[in-house]
Amino acid sequence: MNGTLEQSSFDETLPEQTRLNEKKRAFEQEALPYMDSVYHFAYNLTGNGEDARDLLQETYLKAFRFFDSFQRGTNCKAWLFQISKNSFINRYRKQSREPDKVRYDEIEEYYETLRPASADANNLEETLFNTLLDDEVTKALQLLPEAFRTVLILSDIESMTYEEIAEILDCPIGTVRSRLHRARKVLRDQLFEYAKNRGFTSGSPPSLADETP
Amino acid sequence: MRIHDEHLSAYIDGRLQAEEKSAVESRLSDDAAFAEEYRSLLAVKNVLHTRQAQLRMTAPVDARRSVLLCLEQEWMRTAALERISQESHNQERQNVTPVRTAPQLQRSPMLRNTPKIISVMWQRPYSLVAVLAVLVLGWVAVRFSLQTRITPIPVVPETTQNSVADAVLNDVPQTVFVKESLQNYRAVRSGQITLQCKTASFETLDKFFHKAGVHYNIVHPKINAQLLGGVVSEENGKKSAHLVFKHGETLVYMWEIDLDAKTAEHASIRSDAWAALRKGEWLWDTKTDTSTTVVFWEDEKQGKRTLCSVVAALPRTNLQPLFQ
Repeated sequence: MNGTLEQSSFDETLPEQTRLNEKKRAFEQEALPYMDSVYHFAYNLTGNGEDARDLLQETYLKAFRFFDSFQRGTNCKAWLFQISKNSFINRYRKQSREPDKVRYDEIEEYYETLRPASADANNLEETLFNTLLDDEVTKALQLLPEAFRTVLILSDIESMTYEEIAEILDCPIGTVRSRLHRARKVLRDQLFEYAKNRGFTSGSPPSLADETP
Repeated sequence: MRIHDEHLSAYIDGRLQAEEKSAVESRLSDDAAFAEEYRSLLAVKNVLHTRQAQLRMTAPVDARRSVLLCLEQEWMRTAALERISQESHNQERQNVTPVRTAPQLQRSPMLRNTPKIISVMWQRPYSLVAVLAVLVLGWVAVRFSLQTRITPIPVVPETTQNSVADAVLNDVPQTVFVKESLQNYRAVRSGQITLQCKTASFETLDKFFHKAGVHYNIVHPKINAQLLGGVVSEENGKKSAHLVFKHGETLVYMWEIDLDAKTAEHASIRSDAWAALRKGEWLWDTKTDTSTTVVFWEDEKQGKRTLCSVVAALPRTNLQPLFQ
């Protein structure tokens, strides 16, 4: 055994360990901060906490294993969401359902009837919605069909672009656009329902006395 | 240009072409109902956007902890795999005989004086005896250093159930063989067990097993994975072979037991499982954790029976196709 061979083998060992440590560090910096978002998305997909936990773990495990294929500096959140969605499809393929177009039309029509027919230049909706409690907004969101809820979460809560959403949901951008529009309409009508239940009448913004602590 | 309601959401998100955008703005200024529709949809986006922090569900503490622990184990497994791979690579490099060119031999002073040395040794027999003694001792030392020491694979004590792997250990059927397969796999993965023979050749590995005292039928699985090497364990006087493979980034562990000399502890399997094994069936276990799979089967060759188990951090759907 000569000295040169020993030296080269020593040199080859160090970079590997350094590379692994670097990979771990980079993953912690890039991917771990999105755990809440990924959990939220997983919960939205699975519908319950138990499965969401499993899906969260599976997502991060796969993300770590394939982190070398991720281009640093690009949208890590979208990448994680895509892994989550694909894992969900593989695991729960039998349980997943395609949205029923007729059903969504019925839902839209129903919620449309709840909305007060008024044209108010004072931006009534924004005022009303701002008075709603977080729980009410969350509940309204949860009541939406999964396809609508997912696209709203990705767009208006996670601030993803149409392209990113299309990639995550594996559908055309046109579908993202139309689904998002319909989802906003349905949620709007549901939020009006909550506002009405709190005693706010259409056309009259709530007074301070109506605010509950 | 005809403008639909759907254009409003795209307008809110800044996704319209210049011409569409202009058309929408024109209609907004002329059509009060259209303008109200726009405001209400914008209000929905704003209420979600401004409350995103409150609306976003936070991952429960135990879920976070579970993910971090899982990642830590995965990192350790990867590090161990890299280490094994690197050691195997270095071992093979060291075993390579360097190519020699025909040397231009020059007679060294020693060689020039050879006849004189021989004549001196002949004249002084005790020096000859000393040389012979050194040679014999040297041969003995080399002979014993080649013999591989057999160390038993320690059984890793079960820790508290705080990981997916632990959940598997506690939820599989109570067969010692399956449990110990998983424990051994974890020991190899974490680096507690290192390879005694590092080779990619089954022939070399068989020689190692034979020399180490494993005399039963060693199964060479037809698996799409690179052989890394093997370990021999001994328990109650019985020796058994363990093989380690690598498929991409995944470590695949295999344990083989001589069924014709089985101990009750190792091969404690339910009678219905035995019946299935006799028929040649492969039994898969992914009870609670689909990310780690145990598969075991019985192999028979020339009347000799071997019980084999394979463990890998892969769901069954990914592990099963590796076997050809």
